[in-house]
Amino acid sequence: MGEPHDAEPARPANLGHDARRIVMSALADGIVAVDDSGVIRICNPAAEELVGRPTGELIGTLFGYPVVAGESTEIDLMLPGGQTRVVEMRATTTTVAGQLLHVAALRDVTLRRQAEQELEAELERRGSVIAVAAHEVRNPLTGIGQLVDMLRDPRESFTDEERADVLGRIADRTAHIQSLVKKLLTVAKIDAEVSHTTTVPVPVLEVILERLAEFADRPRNVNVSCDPGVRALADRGELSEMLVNYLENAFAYGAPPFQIDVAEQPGGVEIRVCDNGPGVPAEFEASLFDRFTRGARARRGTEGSGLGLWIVRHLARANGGDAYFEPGETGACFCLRLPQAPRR
Amino acid sequence: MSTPMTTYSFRLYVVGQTPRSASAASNLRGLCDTYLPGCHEIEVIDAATRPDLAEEERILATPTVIRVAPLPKFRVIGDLSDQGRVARFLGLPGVNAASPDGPER
Repeated sequence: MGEPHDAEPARPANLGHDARRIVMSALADGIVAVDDSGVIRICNPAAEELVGRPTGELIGTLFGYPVVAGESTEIDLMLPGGQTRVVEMRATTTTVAGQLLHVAALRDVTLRRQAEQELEAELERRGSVIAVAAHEVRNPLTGIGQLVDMLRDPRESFTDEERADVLGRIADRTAHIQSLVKKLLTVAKIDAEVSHTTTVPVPVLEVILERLAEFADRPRNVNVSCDPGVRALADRGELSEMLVNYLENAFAYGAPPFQIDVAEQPGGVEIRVCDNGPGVPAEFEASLFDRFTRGARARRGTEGSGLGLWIVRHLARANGGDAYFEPGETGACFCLRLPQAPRR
Repeated sequence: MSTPMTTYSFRLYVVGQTPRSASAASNLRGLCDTYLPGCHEIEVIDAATRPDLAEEERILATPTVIRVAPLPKFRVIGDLSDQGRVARFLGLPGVNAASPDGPER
């Protein structure tokens, strides 16, 4: 079974018309079927398009054995003129008319990615929550997939400590996705205008302590200054959500020590979540509470969804208050003003 | 597995210094270390900088590895991560010659 380097160009295999049709129709992508010598015996018009060469030129040409370890792998097709095209390759082996064929199914990743990017851009232009989901869920999911592959790779051996580290990273990414999904549901509810804000007197300190407990697995240096008697007139669930978003924001972008101050002001109850991080660049302040500001995220170089602050402002206003930013001497202060309920 | 005396030579064709290229090269080295310890040579050819060499072998896709010596030549396309099957298709010693996916050849 040698490479027929100097052999005459091979003729198409003597395969029946039906057999060819079956092979072709079974695979919707571009297909290249090679024989036992790695020589192309069949290719379909889609493959012809992908490789940029006519069938007549491809049949009888040496391609090689397509080997894929998992479901698929990416390869570069060499196009005439020196260009290349990235395609996803799947490999199967089948016997047609008694002849063993190794079949490479090729899918144009470049075109598919381009189409996906165009769709995402269009959805983003429309401010669609789907765009956020597609974009933001993909990265941590890809990370999880890679980490799982690493753990399953039989060639890798891990110490208990290394294994725990990888599992920890998977858990972090999972938590990130869970938090994101929660935000997306809130956004979807807001978009669909199905959220019903029911304001009741809510003891602010209680809610703050409840929410801080959610972050208990990662110890933070958080100081709280709040009179236990202070109550806001707000939807308790929405106040919780606003606080969680402010805290996530502070923990993600700020630096300790963190300070939560609650004060009774003439305009209502003011909750301030401050940190001692690098603060917010002046040019970014105006768009802080905008929905899904991609440029803003990129500047800050973190995994934020660009939804948290938008949610806070939307909910604050739905509760008869507002959310705003105040630059501090050091770090940043995110503030929330809500109507005040009589003290307990 | 008996240690072969022959030196096996491989030429790996890749395009650019991409993770895909690096992964294929690393997989090929791992494969050779496993099946041909101390008796193999690997030449990596970047088809982006040496299109003439890729054209000479009529490389249609990368990564492609060609076993150039000893003859006969064999070539495999893919990321080369499936050591067992790649070794069989490259006709390496100590590997069952049967096709991994089909009947005996």
